[in-house]
Amino acid sequence: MTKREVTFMTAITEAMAQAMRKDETVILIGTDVAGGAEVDHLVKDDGRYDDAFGGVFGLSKGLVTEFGRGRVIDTPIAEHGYFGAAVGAAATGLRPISELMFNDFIGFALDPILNQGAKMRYMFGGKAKIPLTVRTVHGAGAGAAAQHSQTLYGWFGSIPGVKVVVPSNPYDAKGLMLAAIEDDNLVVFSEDKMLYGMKGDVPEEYYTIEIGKANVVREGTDLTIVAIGKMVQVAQQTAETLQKDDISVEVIDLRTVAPWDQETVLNSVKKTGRLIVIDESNPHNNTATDIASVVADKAFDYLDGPIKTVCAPNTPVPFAHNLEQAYIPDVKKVLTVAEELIIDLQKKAVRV
Amino acid sequence: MSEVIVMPKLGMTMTEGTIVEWHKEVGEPVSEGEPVLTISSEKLTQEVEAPVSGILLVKNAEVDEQLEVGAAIAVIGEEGGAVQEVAAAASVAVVDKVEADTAVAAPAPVREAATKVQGDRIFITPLARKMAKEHQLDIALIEGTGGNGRITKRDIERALQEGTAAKAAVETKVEAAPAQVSVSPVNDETIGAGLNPMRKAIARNMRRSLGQTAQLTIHRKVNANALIDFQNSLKKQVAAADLDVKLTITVLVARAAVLALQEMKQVNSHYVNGTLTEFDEVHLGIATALDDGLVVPVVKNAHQKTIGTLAKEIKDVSVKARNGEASGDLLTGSTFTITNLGASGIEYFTPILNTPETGILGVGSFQDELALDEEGQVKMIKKIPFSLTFDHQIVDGATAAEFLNKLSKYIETPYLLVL
Repeated sequence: MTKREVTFMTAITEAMAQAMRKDETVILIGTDVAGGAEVDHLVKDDGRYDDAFGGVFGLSKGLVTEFGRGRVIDTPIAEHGYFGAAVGAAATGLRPISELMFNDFIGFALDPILNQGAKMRYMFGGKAKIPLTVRTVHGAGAGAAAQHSQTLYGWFGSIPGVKVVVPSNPYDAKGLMLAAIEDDNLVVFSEDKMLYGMKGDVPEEYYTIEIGKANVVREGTDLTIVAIGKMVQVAQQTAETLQKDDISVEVIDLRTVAPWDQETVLNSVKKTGRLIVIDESNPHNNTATDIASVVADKAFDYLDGPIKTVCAPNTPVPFAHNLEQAYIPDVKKVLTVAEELIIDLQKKAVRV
Repeated sequence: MSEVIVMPKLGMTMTEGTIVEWHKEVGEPVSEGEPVLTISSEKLTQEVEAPVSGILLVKNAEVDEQLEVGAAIAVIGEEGGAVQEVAAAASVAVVDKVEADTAVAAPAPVREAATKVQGDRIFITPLARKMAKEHQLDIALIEGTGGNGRITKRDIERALQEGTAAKAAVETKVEAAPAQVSVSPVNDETIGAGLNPMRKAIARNMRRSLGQTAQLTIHRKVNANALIDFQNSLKKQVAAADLDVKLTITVLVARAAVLALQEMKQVNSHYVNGTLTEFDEVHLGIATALDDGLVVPVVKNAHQKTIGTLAKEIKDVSVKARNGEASGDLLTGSTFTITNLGASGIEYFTPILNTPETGILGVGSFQDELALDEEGQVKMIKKIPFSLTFDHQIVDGATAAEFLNKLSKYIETPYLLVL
């Protein structure tokens, strides 16, 4: 495969474009996904629409030009309405990508997802498929304050019948996006807005990454760190730091938050005996606590220390830059909780 | 910046130390290398020096208080400086508490986290508990080095390696044992309670030894006339050569034992946690009485040493042990032990194995006996009594007797000792 460096954003845009080229039932619907509905000055001489805003972060820029208004549909700011439309379209033969501009707006979009999209296949005895991809954005760090910075993929992950993927790098973003679109179930694809500028090798070709499989990005023997999305970078930096103390850390990029890959995580913990989960969600009832509880249950006899979670505090995301930075889990916080787990592995400086 | 003084580990088996004396008070300046306090372990007394120059900011324990190895004892830093880096010895929780405040407020939280929580509950990870169960280890005897003083997998592995953790009570109750000895479980934290650290260690070691092995002692007297003649003759030559070597009977018996052990490796072995290891090399433990106790300093590689070197080293390690100067290494690693009660007029006794060794040789005082010489004349001879205790799990009576026979050969034909 041909490789080149592109950004996380470009990888997602490319994935959507390739899916739309491959399968004409794929459509994109959401607030401003085209950007500028039926605006006269955007109409070109040939009657097609000029490049518009392409979503609040510009991820769908260019799609309306290539695929037209019929497949790239701008909606009013009425999530309940267009999510209902997307679920209906999915149930009746289309393969929609529906964009929730910020996951913080989950309340408005929730009923079509929770009570319709996630239930139909079950309630209709398998006769309806809901091949809907919900693209949304999470994460603190952009100074977007308490209503545009939350990390809520765990909310979707708690709904039976909904799959949730959270990519950590451009390669995964493209492969997981294409897998999400191909999937015959409702998949929430949650992007960390702080990763949009991240560059990485991405093949030009169409490829998918299996949903439900975690990725062991670093092998180790002493401590397992499971991380989600941009926290994978934090986990890797932590591993580098601990390597200096000869402590070998295994880093698992969870990739899929629901259903998360129990096999990979449990096998790793059985090997290392120690687990830290990093999740930028608020600290209770989130993915990290779920992983901790399953591991405590299924790998109890393999644990050589308490399971630790490193999450955001139990507060809204602060707007002030310094407070917002303090809110996000970082290497220092992970090292702090790691201390208790690895104290017996460290060489004690004994002075006589 | 501040530096934490932690309880040093003076020997492989040391788990905690006792504060004997403080040489400095809080607020007093100390120079690098200056003794700050004196500590004692089960075997040794040692001064602990200041790692840096500064002010003694925190004293974390009073005289007679016991602290675990690695626990913070004191903090030295700049005057009025914040007490930082206490984390080196204690848990992270401590850092949070300590960093925020100055030295004055520090001692309490430091101590809270640094000393093991005493009480009925032993903190151990699920994995370590499972491993301890599999290997039938007594977790009460294992030091936890994990967070919150937890016993971790690494501690279990260390205990298995060092053989420091006794087998659990279940195993010591030998079902239908022919000896009908009811051995009390050795998992009791109360063993040695109320005793000083050395007696406590002795108490534990002795109870453990009796609880885990099948000890049997056999006795034999050996004609020592030739040995005594040999000793006198050697002494003269040593004196003539103006050498500083004291050739005691203990040295000669040690040499004889080393040679016999090399012929009989079954007796020069360790049996611990289901693994029997026979050694080619002989590291000879020399039981040494102290005013209030007993230590077993070790002459390493005794098989490579001539009588002269052996004499010097036995003297050397004994003196060091008596003066409390023996380093930890000098007190561990023996493969066989000799204990001599000859000077006290004892004839036979039943030495207790210095586990995981499988043999210990007791030496008694010379006994005068009448014997008929080749011409039928009655003459007086001196005999030396030996008491060999062995672990009947590993060594049988016949083998043990053969070992004493070989030993006797060297005692009765002492020139073999220098061949």
